Amino acid sequence: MYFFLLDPKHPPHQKRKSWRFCAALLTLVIALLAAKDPAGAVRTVRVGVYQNEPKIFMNEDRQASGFFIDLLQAIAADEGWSLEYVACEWTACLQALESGQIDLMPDVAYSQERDGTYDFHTTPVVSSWSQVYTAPGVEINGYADLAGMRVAVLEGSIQQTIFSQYMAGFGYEVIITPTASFQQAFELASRNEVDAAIANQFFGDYFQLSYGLTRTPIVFNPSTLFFATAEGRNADLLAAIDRHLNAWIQQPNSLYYTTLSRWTLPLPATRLPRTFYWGVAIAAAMLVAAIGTILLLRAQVRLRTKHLEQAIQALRESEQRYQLISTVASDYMFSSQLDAQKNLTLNWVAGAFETITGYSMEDYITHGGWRASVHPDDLSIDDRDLDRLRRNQPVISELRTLTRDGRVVWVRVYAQPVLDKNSRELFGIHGAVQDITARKQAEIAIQELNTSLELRVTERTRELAAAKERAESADHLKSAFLATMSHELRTPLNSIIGFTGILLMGLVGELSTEQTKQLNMIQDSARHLLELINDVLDISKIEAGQVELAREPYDMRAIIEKSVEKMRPLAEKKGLSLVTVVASSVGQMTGDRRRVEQVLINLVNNAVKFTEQGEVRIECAPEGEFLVTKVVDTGIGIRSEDMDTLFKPFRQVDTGITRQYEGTGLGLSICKRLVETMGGSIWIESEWGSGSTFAFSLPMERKEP
Amino acid sequence: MTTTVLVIEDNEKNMYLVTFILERSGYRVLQARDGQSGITLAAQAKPDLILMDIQLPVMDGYTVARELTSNEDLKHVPIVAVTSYAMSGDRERALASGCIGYIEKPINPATFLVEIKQFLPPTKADLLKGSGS
Repeated sequence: MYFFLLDPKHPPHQKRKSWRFCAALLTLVIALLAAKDPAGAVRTVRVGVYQNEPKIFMNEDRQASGFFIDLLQAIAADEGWSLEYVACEWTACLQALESGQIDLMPDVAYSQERDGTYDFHTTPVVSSWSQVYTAPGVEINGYADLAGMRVAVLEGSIQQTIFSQYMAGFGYEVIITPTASFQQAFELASRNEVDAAIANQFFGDYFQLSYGLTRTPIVFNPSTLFFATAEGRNADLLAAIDRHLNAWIQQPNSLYYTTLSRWTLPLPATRLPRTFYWGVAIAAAMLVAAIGTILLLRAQVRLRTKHLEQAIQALRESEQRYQLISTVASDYMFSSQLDAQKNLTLNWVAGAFETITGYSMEDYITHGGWRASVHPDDLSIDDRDLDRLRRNQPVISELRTLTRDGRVVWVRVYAQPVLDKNSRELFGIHGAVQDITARKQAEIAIQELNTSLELRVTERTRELAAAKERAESADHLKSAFLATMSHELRTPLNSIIGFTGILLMGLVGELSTEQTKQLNMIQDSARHLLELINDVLDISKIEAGQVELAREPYDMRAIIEKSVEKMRPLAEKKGLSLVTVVASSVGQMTGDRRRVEQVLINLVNNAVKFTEQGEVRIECAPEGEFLVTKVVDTGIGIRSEDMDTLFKPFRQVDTGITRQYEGTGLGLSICKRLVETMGGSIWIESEWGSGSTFAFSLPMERKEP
Repeated sequence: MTTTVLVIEDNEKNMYLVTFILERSGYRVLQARDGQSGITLAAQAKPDLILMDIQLPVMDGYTVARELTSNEDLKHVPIVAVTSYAMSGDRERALASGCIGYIEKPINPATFLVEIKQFLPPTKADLLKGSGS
């Protein structure tokens, strides 16, 4: 088409022709739409018809008939609907309604559940309920009379479900006979094959006389009946039905009432429609109340019956248990009585008596009874027990008995005295004897285990104590060794340093320049060796926890000055300036002066050693409760990865630095231990290439009040 | 009058070193090689100062110091421990047993004389020097 319109070869009059065609088409469409105008249209309504005489049914001539049909036809005539009846079973009818195969379904009882699937109009067509009708010669005045009766009920109907629930709820057993239809149920009742039949009251009242049945006062399942449509469809039908019903119900002799009376047998109550509905409502309410009360009472009765049954069952089980115990358990029960010689003699046993004693009851008595079976070492226990029983006290005791073949059996005895009614003296004993050998053996085993465990613990403790002693003495030996070592190493050093000193002082004679130079080297090396010895000794003492700190007043300012003076020659030799920045409040401290001095000298010495140019600055100022001393240098700095290992002993030994700078690498770890022992801490602030700061803090003594 | 110093020291080289320094400075030096002979010599010669090692054969320095200070004739003689004993508490033990000074080995020849001089009673020369200034 697109191509056609754009084709320039086609002359323009052809276009005009097509416009004319379009206009004609439009007119036709409008005409057709006008013909569809509702005012003049015939509404076809497809209505489902199932068999529920006299409300709705197909009669013998295959014509839709019944109360609902009559009302619907009157409405259809008025509304101009064309009714089309579709015969179907009840369930099929509802399915057809849902799927849209029919538009309207009469005689549908309202329920909340159905309200979700179907639409209902507002004014009920009629109320209905289920009712029991009796067979000829049967008299029923209440639910109780139904007990044991045969009752015919439409199979799969709401009546069957609810009636069965009621009967079960009341605790009545009835024999339900399911039937295919209400008619069949009534036929069975009329032939006395069942005692009663259930139907909705429309059917029942309509047919009871023809089947020779009698209506009973038993009614249930009240409901209101409506026309229904599928949800959301055909709302206009429902509206029209409501309109007509409302109009009819207002007028006493309207079509509604004449139709209703035509399809129900003349009954007094149905003459007054308003009162009739009220009556039904009140009756239903009372019925519900009555059923509630009955249900409550029944429930109580059932509960008590259940308790009784439970009690009986428990009793039965207990008896069974007793029998079981008597036959298989490791216990026996006994009863004994004073005989003519005033001796307690066994007169009844039950249970595992023979298993435990090895005797039959007769042999046992002949052999001397209980007393003879008690283990000789436990006779005193038996004496005590008997004494208690004589004083009317129950006994529970554990003792050993001997079996016929001489085996020792541990038993637990539960004995109850029986006193003579008049004399109040011991007349007999009854009770139980339990074999507890296994338990006792376990107990003894546990006791032995405990004892051996205690022994082992004691032994182990002794071993550990010995090990500790050995360790301690080893430690002591180590300390002694270190002291000796220190002494032995210092003694030759003493000579080396001393004689070198004498020579250098010129006390022996004039020295050449070369001699002085070499002697200085000897002295330096000797002093270095001495430092190493001192360091090793220090770290050993610290590790052995042998550092004893003095507590004496000292002047921190003086320590700083002394340390600086000591390091000044070396610093000057390297061209470094030594600077001190000491806060005015720094002064008197309490602690170990020599150790503080050792730490500071160590740090300043390191700083001077590792700094090639610039300065070494010592700062000291209080920070909070601590006095913080910092040694700041302009040296090579420290790599961050090296900072952690710096304070660990013997670490520096592994690094190349040792070769370049002399030292054991113990200095910083000694400082750290000493500072921490003194209650302070030590740390580094450094950046590789831009110098380092070694700082340590010491707690300041609070002035005593 | 010459100042007499008794040196109790078992190590031959150290004995020579101390003796050399002292004699070069004009002191008279008496030598004892163990604790017991030290006490005997002290009682005989009544020195002005005793320089004593702590670790000695036969009798250790602490005992020697206690013996000397308990002797009426000798208790005024100052005793200075010259020792390489440097375990914790050594200094305290030495002072407690009667020493009035403690010089740690190895000694520094440059400062040794100054150190021992403070333990000696002032000489006539010192007094003269002091009154003259």
